[in-house]
Amino acid sequence: MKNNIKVERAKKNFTQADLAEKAQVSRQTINAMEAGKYVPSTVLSLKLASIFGVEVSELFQLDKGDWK
Amino acid sequence: MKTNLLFPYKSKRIGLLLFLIGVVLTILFYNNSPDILEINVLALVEGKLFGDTEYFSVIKNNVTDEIIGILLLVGLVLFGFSKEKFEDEHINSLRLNALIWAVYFNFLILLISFFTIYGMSFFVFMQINLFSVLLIFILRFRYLLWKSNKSLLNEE
Repeated sequence: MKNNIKVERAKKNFTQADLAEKAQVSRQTINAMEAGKYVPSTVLSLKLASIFGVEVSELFQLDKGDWK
Repeated sequence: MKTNLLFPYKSKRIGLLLFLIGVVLTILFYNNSPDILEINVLALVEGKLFGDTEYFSVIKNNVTDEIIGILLLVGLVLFGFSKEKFEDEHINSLRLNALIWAVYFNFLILLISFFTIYGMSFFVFMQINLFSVLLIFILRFRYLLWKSNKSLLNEE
């Protein structure tokens, strides 16, 4: 799964810490998501989409590896 | 993972303390239990070394090892399964991962011990094996947390 969290974060000039605080998670979680090491829960992805003012599908995209 | 399965963050320190006391007592009393702890206990099951197994009898037993066992067990469980200061879903997934890993690793060691450790040493190993899953889990979980913290330093 691909994600554009870093890009959206840069658009709004948030640091990882800023985003973590807004999304009510730890900075490790944001970092792990951006590094592609962690797939967020539905609730968290909806929160992130809401924070950035975009749709979830703009933030996360399926790729070939997700369809096993 | 439901976080109401975990103990509050404050219990972590208590757990560590209990465990350390247990370790110190183990070292102090390993082969010489204090006589004052030789008391009557209710043994639901008593498997005698020479003789038949007795049920529901009151026997004399030095409870030093029982007390130490309780300290180690409760200490490790409290320390291992109390919440982190800041709980979130990523930490939950790390915890689950560490738990499964620890069970695998523990059974691997157990398997190897079956054909490498014999006699009384096996009995000693079994005593360690009582607590090793918890210990391995704690170590693995701490390691995963450390790794995830370290990668933070590489980002802004």
